[in-house]
Amino acid sequence: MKLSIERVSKEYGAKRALDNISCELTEGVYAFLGANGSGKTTLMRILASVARPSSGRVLLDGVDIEVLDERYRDMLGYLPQHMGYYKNFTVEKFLMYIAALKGIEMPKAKAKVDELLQAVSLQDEKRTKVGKLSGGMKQRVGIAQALLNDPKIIIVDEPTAGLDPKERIRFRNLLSTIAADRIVLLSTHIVSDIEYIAKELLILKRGALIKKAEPQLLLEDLKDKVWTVLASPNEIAAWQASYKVSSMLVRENGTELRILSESKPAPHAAEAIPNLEDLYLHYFDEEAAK
Amino acid sequence: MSKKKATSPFDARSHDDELIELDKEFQQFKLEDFTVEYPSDEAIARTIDAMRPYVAEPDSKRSKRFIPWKLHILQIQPAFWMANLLFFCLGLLLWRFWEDDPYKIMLLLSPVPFFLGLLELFRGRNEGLLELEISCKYSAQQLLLRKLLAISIYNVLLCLALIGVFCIFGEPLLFSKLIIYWAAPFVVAVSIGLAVANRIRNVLSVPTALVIWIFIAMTFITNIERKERYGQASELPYLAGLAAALAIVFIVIQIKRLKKGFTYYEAFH
Amino acid sequence: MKSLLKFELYKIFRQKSIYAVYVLLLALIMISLNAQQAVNNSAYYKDWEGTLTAEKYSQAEAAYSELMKAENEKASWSNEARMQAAVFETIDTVRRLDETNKYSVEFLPGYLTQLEKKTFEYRKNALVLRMLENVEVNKLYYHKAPAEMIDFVNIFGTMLSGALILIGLAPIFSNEYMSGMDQFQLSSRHGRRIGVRAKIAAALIYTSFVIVVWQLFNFVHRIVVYGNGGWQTPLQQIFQYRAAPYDYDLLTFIFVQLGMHALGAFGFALIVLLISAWCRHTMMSIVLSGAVYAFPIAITVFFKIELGKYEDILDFTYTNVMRITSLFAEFKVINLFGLPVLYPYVAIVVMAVLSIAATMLLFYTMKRREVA
Repeated sequence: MKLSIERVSKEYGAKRALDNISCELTEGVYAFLGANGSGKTTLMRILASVARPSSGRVLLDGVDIEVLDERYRDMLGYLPQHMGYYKNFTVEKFLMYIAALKGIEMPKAKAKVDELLQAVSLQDEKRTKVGKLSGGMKQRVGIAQALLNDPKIIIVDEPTAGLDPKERIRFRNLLSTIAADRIVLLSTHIVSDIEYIAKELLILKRGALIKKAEPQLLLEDLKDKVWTVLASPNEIAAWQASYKVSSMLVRENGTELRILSESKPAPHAAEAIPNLEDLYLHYFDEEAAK
Repeated sequence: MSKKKATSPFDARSHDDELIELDKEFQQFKLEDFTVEYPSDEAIARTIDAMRPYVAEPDSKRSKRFIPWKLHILQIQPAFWMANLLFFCLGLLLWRFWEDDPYKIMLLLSPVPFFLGLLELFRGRNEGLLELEISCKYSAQQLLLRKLLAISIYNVLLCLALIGVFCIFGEPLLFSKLIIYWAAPFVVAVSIGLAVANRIRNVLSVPTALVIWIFIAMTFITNIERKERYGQASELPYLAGLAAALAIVFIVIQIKRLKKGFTYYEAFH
Repeated sequence: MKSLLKFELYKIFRQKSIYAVYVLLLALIMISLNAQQAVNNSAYYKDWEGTLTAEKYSQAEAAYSELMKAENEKASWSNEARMQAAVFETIDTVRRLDETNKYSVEFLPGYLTQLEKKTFEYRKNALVLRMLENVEVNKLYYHKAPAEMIDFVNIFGTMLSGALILIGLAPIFSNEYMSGMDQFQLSSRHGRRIGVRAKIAAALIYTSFVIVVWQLFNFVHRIVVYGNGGWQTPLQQIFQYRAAPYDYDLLTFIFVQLGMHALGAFGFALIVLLISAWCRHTMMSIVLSGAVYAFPIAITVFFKIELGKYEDILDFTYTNVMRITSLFAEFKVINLFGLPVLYPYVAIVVMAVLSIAATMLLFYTMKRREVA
C-alpha cells in the first residue's frame, strides 16, 4: 500500500498553510513534527479527506483519493486534534454511532465496540456520558473510534496533547501494537511520543516539508553539534542568549546545560549524543538562533 | 483532702458523718446525664457583638456596585446592538410606509431585543468561558445580572424611542393602550424568554421563545379585538396590570434560578 | 442506513425545545379555541339534513318567514330562534350557490362556441365547465367539525409545522459543525452520502410526526366540541371555498389538504436542511430558514407590497402551499404552452422540482464540504 502526496498546497485566503508538499508513505509509523502553525493539522485533514488541497493531489496506490471517495474513507481511521462529541451520548452509544457512520453492521459493531473498550480500558465507563469523561478518557474514546473499522490508514493529530504521562505511555504502547501492516500518520510536537516508534520523521516548517528521513539519519546530522556544559547560576542567562539550550539539569556542582552549536562552545564542553528534542530545537528555535 | 485527726470519740463520729454527707453530695455530680440550658437570644447577640472586632475581614471583597462605565466588561457583541437597531428601524418603516398599527408594532417587536439578548447571556458558557468567569473578580453571576440589566435597559430605550417617534410624528398614543399593548406584553414576553432560557440552555432558546411569543401575541391581538368588539374594553387595563404583576413575580423567580446555575461550574455540566 | 437513521431520529427527537414549543403552542391554541365558546348546534340541523330538493328549499323559506314574523314581535330574538335562523340562512346560501353553479353550467357552452378551438381561452373554459358539471352543492349537514378542521390548517397548522420544522431541523447540520462531529462524519465511509440520506429520511419522518400530531389534536378537539358529522358536505359550503370548482366533499378535501400541506412541509424541511448544511452557526441557519418561511407573509401582511401580475407566484411558496387556501379557493390555471394547468397541479410540480433541487444541492454541498 502506498500513499503518495504530490505537490500538495493549501491556501486560506492570503495565507499559504501548505507549500508544495510531496512524499510517499508505506506501512509503518510516520511522525509529522512541527511547531504550531507549521501546517501539520492542515496536512492531516487533507489526508483524512476532510479538507481538499488548493493544488496537487493525494494518491492511494496510484488512484486519487477524491476518485476513490467512500472506498478511501472506508480504510481510514481519524482522530482529530480537537475531538468533537455529543455530550449526552454515552461512550457506547457514541462508538455505535461512529460504527454506523463507518458502515459497520449492528451485531459486528457491538462486538467491536466491546473489544475496543477493553483495549483502551474503558469498559467500566461504557454507560457514562462522553461529556462527563476526563480529557484522557475522551482521548481514549477517540482512539477507539478511529480503530472501529480496522483501518489500513490511521491518522492521529496531536493525540497526546493534554494527557498525563501515564496516558501518554498508554497511548504510545497502543500505537505500537496497532502499527503493523498499517500506515500510521501521527502529528505531534511532543517528541517523546514518537521517539521509539516512528519509522520516519517528516519535519514541517511554515507549510513546507524540510526533511523526511529515519530518526537515526536525522540525528546523524546533529552529530558533533550537541554539547553539555556545566554553568554557574549567573552564567546561565549568558549561555541562553548566545546558544540554543535544549535542557537544563541542576547538579551538585552547577547546572548542566545541553547546548546546540556548530562548534565546541567552550573548552570544558563535552560532546553529547543527540536526541529528538535536540532535533526539534535545531529546526524550530528561531529566537535562540538569532 | 487532708484528714483531720480525731481528738475525741465524738469528733471521730461527726467526721465520718461529714465524709458520708460529702460522698452523697458528690453522687449528685456524677456525669451520667445533665441538662445544659440553651443561652437566650440576647446572650447570643451579646457574644457575637463581643467577638465581632476579632473576626478577620475577607481578603478580597467582590464588588457589589455596578459601574456603568465598565460596560466593556460585558463584551456584548456589536451585532446585538446593530441587529436591534435594525428592528427599531423596521418598526419605523412599517409604521411610516405601510401604515401599520403602532400598538401592534410595539406588541410584536418590543421584546425582540430581549430575546436576542438571551444569546449574550449564554455566550460565555457556549464558548467555554464559564469556568473562567466564575473564578474572576466580576463573577459569572454578576456578569449575568449586568448583562440582563444592560439588555433590558437597551430594549426599553429602543421602545421609548419608538413611542417617542410615533407620538411626535403621528397620532399621540394612549397611555392605557400602551399598558395593554406594550408594557404588560413586554413583561410577559421577558418572563417567557427567561423561562425558556432556563430550560433550554442553548442557542435554540431564542427561536423557541420567539415562536412562543409570536403565537401569544397573535392570540392576544385576536382576543383584545374581540373584547373591544363586545364592549369589554374597560376591563383590559386591569387584566393587563394583573398579567404584568404576575409576570414580574415569575421573572424574579426565573432570574434567581438562572443565577443559581451560574454559581458553580457543576450546575451547568 | 437503518442504524444511521435511528441515530439521526434520536438526535432530532431528543431536543427539548421541540416539545416545549409543541406543548405550549397546542395549549395556547386550545385556550384560544375554547375562548370562542363554541357549541355543538347539530340538533338544529337534524330535520333538514340530506339532499336539498326544491321542495325542501320552499319549506325552509316558509319556515324562515314564520320565524321572522314571530320573533320580530318580541323585544329581542331568543338564542333558539337565532340558531334556527342560521340553519335557514345556510339553506338559502346553498340554494344560491346551486343557482350560481347552474347558471355557469348553462352559460359556458354558449360562450365556448364564440371562442376559437384549440386556444388557451377555449381550453380553460372547457375545463371549468367540465369541473362545474360535477359539482353538487345541494346537500345540508352540520359540518362545523370538518369545516373548522380545514380552517385550522390555514393558520395554526401552517404555523405549527413551520415553527417545529424550523426548531427541529435547522440545527441538524450546523450542530455537527459546532460540536466538532463533522470531522468524524466527513472522514467516515458513509458520512457524505448515506449519512446525508439518513438525515433527509429522519427529517421527513419528523415532519410527518409534526403534521400527524397536530392533525390528530385538530380532529379530536373538533369532534369533542362539534360532534362527528358533516363529512359529506360539499366543499363549496365553506366560506373561503365558495368559488372552488372542485368536486370534493369535506372528508375528501381534508385528505387532499393534508397531502398538499405535507408536500409543502416536506419541501420546506428539505430547504431547511440545505440552509443548515451551508451555515456553520445554528442561529444563522434558523434566521435564514425563518426568512424563507416568513417572506410571503411579510410581503402581503406586513409590507403590503402590490406585486401585480407576479402576486400569483407567492401561491407557490412553501408557506402558501402549506396553507393551501389560495390553491383551491378559486379556479386558477397557468398557461403551459396553450394548455391550462390547475394551480394545485402546478404546486405539486413546483414543490417536487424545488425538493429535488434542494436534495441534489445538499448532496453536492456535503460531497464538497471541508472542515473549517
